[in-house]
Amino acid sequence: MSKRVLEVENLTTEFHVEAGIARAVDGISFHLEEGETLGIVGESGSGKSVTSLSLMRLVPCPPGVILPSSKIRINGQDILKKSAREMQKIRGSEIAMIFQDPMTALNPVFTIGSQLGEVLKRHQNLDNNASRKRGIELLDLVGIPDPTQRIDNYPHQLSGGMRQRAMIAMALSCNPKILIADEPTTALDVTIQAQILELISKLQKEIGMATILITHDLAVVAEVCDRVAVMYCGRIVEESNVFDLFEKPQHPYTRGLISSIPRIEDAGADRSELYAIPGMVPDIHALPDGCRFADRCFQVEDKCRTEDTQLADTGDGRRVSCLFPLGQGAQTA
Amino acid sequence: MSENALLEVKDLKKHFPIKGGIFRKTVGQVHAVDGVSFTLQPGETLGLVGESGCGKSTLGRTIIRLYDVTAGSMKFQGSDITNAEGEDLRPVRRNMAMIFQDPYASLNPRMTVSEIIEAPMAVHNKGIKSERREKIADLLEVVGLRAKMANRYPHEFSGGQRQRIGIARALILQPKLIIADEPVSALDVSIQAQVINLMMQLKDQFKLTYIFIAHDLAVVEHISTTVAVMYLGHIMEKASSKALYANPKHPYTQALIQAIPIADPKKRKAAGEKQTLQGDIPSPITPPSGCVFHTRCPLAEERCKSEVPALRNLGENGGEHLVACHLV
Repeated sequence: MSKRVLEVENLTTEFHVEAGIARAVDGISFHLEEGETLGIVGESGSGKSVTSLSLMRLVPCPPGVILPSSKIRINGQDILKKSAREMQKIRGSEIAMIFQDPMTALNPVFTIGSQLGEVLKRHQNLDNNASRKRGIELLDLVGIPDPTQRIDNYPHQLSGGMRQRAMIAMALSCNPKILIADEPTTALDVTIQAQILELISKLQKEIGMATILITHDLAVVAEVCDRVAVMYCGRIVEESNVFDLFEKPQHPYTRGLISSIPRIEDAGADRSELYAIPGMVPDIHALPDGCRFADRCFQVEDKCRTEDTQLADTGDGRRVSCLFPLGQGAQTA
Repeated sequence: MSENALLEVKDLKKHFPIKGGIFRKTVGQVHAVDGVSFTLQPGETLGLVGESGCGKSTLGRTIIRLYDVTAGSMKFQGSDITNAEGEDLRPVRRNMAMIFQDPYASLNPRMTVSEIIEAPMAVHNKGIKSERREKIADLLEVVGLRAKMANRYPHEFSGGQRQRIGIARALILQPKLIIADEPVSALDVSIQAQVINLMMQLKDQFKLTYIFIAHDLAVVEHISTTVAVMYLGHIMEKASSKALYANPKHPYTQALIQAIPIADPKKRKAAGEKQTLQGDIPSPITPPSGCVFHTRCPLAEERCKSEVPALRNLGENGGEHLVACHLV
């Protein structure tokens, strides 16, 4: 068994706001093995982005609070016990992140070179010349044409795809063990998305880092991930390897999500109605007592509305949080 | 055929001037739509796809005359609307409606739902108060909301529900043509499916014709009868949805379809097996000469740099399959 580079236990992140306490992430546990790609999928409000910010310890505090019962271990060290100063060392060198919108994540008044240089000077103690040289190497690595010119450009002079490449260069500059990519291609066009996904998986193989890919797009997950965790209302409802997840989803929500994607591969087939999950995500301040998906589930039973569900092992390293998991013979539909 | 066409667009161009210098002189032009022609039959759903900056939204907005036309002509229900103004534009706008992308920005936060949906009727002096109220209540039920929600404000609704309000507003005058500009791209997958289903159901119920603008090829495939692929202000390929996806002829369409991630890990392609389009979309301020796609085209030849390819019909068995490429 390969090494676990990241272990998350009972991670709970709350936001104390006027309307009450919003528990954006509610006691989730997962791990990440060396070199693998874990996909975290979910709709907006499912807590996937708060999870990634919690892993970086970048949740704004206040109003955000990571409860003390949570544990995030990177290579065995609990980063929630680290001081802010120690955390600065860990960010970038152990765990790095790329964000959805490269235009807002990059500083518009500094050149790409000076933003890259800042990381290199801080973490690797390079001087000006060395960091510029390394910066050009990195831009070349991520496929930016003409890196000696581009390093002096400002973010607005680059296209969306280029900016995302520059941000990847920045994230990779200190050879992190873990890369968190939060919706890295959502703001990009399909042809550029394909370029960036290809780049991330190529670099991952070369550098051997583990990646967490956070996305709402199941098709992207199917293309690049090894393992997937599906989130709903702050909890992981299903975790599985990617092949089994798409072939035999065990949670009704996962199945609903998969069936609601319009598919291009059966072009020409009858344009029947798309499967649509009825209703919508419940309000975070008024979560139901039982299973949080109960109101939208096609096989809901009385028990689902009163009994809370737990993520339970179903063999083959799969976990599901449902009283009546699909494909287990206990279903009614 | 063309006598019955709902909409005929001929060589339509829309350029935006770029102003610069202290005297705000025009220093350049953004060639957003650069010579687009097509006809739309009643009952058709034309999907317009392309990457950002290809001019698909500008085309939609020019057709409904939110923008003035730079060159070319448009006929709607047989009458020329290219330069229609004031009172002449009123019947055009009554029969065309638009659904916008962002359900948060396209509804006035200070108006109640019933005021929002009523606005088009007020503008066109349709019906008296009680009739309007009844119609709004009916329509809210049709789009899957409850009639009693009419007095609420937009912020009380979720994204999917707001998009339903936008759809109700577009339907209130019983238009012939609805231009939907990325109506589902701001929504989550599960909600997206609900809205697509609703739009398809309304099309049958009200005998609508759609122009469906989107960047998501899979969504367009699902809803459209005909699909036009745009790149830098030009239509590169136009065919029935079936023919276009089963047998894409233009190298750009082929690359675009290849780039779509497929939601099935078993069909995952090994690295290198996939033909990824290199480079970025050129600027529409200085579009490439000849075929606008030649800078990224894997097959480009010398003549692609100088000669502009015309849209040619390569359809078999009488079907229309238009392709703008020298090499097919």
